[in-house]
Amino acid sequence: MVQFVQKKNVAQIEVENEWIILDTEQYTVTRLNDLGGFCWQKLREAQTVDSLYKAIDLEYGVECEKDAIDHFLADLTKYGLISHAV
Amino acid sequence: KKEKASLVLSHQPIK
Repeated sequence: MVQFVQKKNVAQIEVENEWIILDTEQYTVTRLNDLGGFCWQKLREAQTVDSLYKAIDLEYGVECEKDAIDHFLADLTKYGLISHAV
Repeated sequence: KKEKASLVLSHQPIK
């Protein structure tokens, strides 16, 4: 399974159930919803779609679609906030 | 467990 992890040079702040991610290298601002912020925190360590799926279920008691997690990770990769863990 | 709350809401460069 492909693992993803946060890139360095990012800072984050939580404001009213939203997460604001500042990329200090590319000078971008990215806003995530509450569940996105939860996944973002988990991504401080290497995660797979499956591990995030289980973490969400454990924390929220919600069965989140794996496609949605996959799409979320693809977005973060596209915006240069996460990369494949080596 | 937390309440059921719910995505990348927006992404933009800093000007």
